[in-house]
Amino acid sequence: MKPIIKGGLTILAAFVLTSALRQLSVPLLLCVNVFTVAVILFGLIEGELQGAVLGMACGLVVDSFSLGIFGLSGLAHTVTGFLSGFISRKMNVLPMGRLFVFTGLMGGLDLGLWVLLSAVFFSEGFPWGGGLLLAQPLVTAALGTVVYLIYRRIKARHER
Amino acid sequence: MPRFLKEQKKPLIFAGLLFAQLVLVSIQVPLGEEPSYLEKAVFFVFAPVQRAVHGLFAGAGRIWDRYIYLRRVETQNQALRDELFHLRQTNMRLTNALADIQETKELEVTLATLQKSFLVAAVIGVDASNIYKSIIIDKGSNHGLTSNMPVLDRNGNVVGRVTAPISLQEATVQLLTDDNSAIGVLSETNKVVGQLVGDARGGRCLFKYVLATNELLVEGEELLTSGFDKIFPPGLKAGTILSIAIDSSLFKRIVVEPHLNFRELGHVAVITQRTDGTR
Repeated sequence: MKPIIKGGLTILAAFVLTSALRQLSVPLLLCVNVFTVAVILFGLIEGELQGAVLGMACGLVVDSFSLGIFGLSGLAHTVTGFLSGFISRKMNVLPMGRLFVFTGLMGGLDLGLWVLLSAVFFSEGFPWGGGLLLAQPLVTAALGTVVYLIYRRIKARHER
Repeated sequence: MPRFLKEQKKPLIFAGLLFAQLVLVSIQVPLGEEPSYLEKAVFFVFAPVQRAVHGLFAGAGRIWDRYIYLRRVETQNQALRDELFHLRQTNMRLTNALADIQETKELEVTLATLQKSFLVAAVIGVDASNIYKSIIIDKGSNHGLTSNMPVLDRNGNVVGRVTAPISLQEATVQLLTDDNSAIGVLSETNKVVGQLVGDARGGRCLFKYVLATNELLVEGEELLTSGFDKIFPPGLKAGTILSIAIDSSLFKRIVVEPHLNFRELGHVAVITQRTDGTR
């Protein structure tokens, strides 16, 4: 499958999942960022450039449904997508424990960048949600690891 | 292609992507509140997807409620019948009271205006980057929605106002907790006037421009819309005062707990026409 189609389907899946999460519970959106998980995994699987492009596209989709600055989430996601692909090409992050730490760190980086850009450069507020926001990297790590392991199993079955 | 460009292709494209987004951010400054064409285009493309997901969940919920989970239905039914009975009585008393002060024709016009004055919309999405900033509703310009129409919850409390982008079938609602939201309010008991400004960080609001020397406000007091902003009609409940503090500034720091509750935000009412006929 061409990366552009894969990317389009990934964005669509992330958007549908985010909309579905909203139906379940709105505060859940503070600690579960499906777009971040999608960007990290796409960078990991497809490479740094594809990760950066998907990060930009995801960010623009998120920002078009937000009253915040259009392009702000894109900046954070682009850096995360690129670094996710770049680091995973330099070192082996695929064993389960390392993958958990790696996706958690990338999730933390994405959140940190977004908070930094929002607060320092654009004077925008960010929602703490009683600390729920701080759980986001941990949830990203757990979700990212589970989704990647499922992806690896499906891929291995297809290759057999 | 020069060798340098070939070797540094990936970092260069990455830098190009970052630069493109910085340009995108920069061009919003002269645009102000007006969203860019790209933002509108992405909204138009993805809003129907959000509507479809909402429809799917709403459909599944309806099947569950109507055909599977029928426990306590009879009790709820009875409670609703009682409520309807009381509401009918109140409605009749209010209609009679109005009839005493108005001519029949005038009364018919008033009642017709009241019935047409709002539109019920379902909340289909929420701002994924900051849940306290905005929501998406399933009514748009096709239903007559325009910017600055007030939005209320099912209890008549202020939720926010309609803002751009508005597509044919969907619209964005700026919540009263958004940093850029400001509503003219006054306190219920002592009529202290000020501005209710959002604080998206904590999902609360700040009651601004009340002088530090003002001793009339108390914690727990209700804040109502004043109508001075020409957007929200007067008398709508906006929130209750949570804490009052005095710092070095000229004004008091008053934190307000808005009546906004995401659990009760399945449907909202958009005021499309003021009861005085304006809009």
